Amino acid sequence: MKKILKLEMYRATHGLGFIVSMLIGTAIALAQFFIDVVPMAGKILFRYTGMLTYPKNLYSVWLGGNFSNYLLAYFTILPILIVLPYGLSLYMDNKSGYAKNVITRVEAKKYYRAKCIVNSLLGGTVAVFPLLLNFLLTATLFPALNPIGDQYLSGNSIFSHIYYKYPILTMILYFLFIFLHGAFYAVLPLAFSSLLRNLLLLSLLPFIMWYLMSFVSRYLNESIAPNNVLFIFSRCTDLFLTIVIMLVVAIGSYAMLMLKAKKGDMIV
Amino acid sequence: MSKMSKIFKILFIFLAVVGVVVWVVAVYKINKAFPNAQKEVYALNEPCEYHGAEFSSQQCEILNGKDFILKYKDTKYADYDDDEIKIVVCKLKVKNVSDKTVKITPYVGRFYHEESGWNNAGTIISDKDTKMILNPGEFSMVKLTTAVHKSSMDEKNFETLDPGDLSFIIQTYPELLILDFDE
Repeated sequence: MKKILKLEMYRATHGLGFIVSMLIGTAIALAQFFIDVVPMAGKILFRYTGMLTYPKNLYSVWLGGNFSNYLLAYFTILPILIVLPYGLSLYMDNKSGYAKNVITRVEAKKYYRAKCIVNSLLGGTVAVFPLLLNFLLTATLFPALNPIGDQYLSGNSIFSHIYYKYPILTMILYFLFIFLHGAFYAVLPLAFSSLLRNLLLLSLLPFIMWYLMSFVSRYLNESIAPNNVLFIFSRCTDLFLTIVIMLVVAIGSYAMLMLKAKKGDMIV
Repeated sequence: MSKMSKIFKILFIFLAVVGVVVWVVAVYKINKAFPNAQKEVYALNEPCEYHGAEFSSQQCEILNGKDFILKYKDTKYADYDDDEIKIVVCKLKVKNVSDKTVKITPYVGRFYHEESGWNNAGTIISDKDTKMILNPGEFSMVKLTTAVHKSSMDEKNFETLDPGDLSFIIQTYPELLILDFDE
């Protein structure tokens, strides 16, 4: 297992998809930093009719801390970015015959498991890295003052109960949440590699599912819409249900692969 | 490993270490220059002084839409259903305690519900100018209002909302003035 995992990780991290995905995310994070954050750095203290108002602080200035076109663009393409690194690898391996070669040497179960682990790790990394980079860069220019009455985070936001008391803990949990989102949805194309023969459709699968769920949840329960819950200030009260949905997607995808492996089928 | 890749590896580690050191120093410097604000909490009617002006919260009431319209003849929340919205009205006294004329904007602050994190900016109610100019010894009463929407707060917190749960925060620095609405 260790050997195949190492091999899959090497293939994934040395692929063009991973580099392109990281570059796109990083470009958005850096654009927001240089265009929005840096010019504001000299205006931390703001004088308002004789009073010094509360300084602009890290938590409201960084990419994830306020609603901007950069953040909207990032979360819109995120379901595509998490597939790019390695989400289509099983489909490609099957098509090229590489999978057959591997399965003659390694148990199919181990091969699929390694694919799931590598995809999850890379999907999560690609999702969280640009946000983390932007946060760390912004931390060098803006103080990490306790947020007070932040205009974006209302009492119904996911983390509002802890954000004002423990902002750093909130950020850690938020980054973990984004990582898990990327990690869980990245497994989806693997499970459907045998069902969908169209490469484009497969690569857009998390994107389609993401927005289909968002559309449906508009009529059922808006607080679980994937394109809504990713924003730290989104008015989502159903964190539990969101995590349940993420787990269902990930475990369902994993179970589909394991079932195939048990049957001894190739995913072709 | 070839000699070139070994050099790249060492260079990468060196740059990473330099990057981390620069980051730590920059974060330390900015946070030392701007430490967390000192919270100063004031009870109802307790005056607090800032930049020559004295602020005190005088009264706070929570009304439904109909009662608000009747009492203040203000229809800005008329479009909302009564169970969707609660309107917070607070009275703030601003007095010039200095020997100079003071220009002040009393609504540089937000209503805040600590338990849930709900917050909203205060809007001045009455026809007073938002930028007040007070001569020495002069004072003025300001009515500030905000609407709490059901969708912006937990249902439980919304139903049981009481003036004692709310504060008015004047977002100043390095002191953060918190005016409570209970004694």
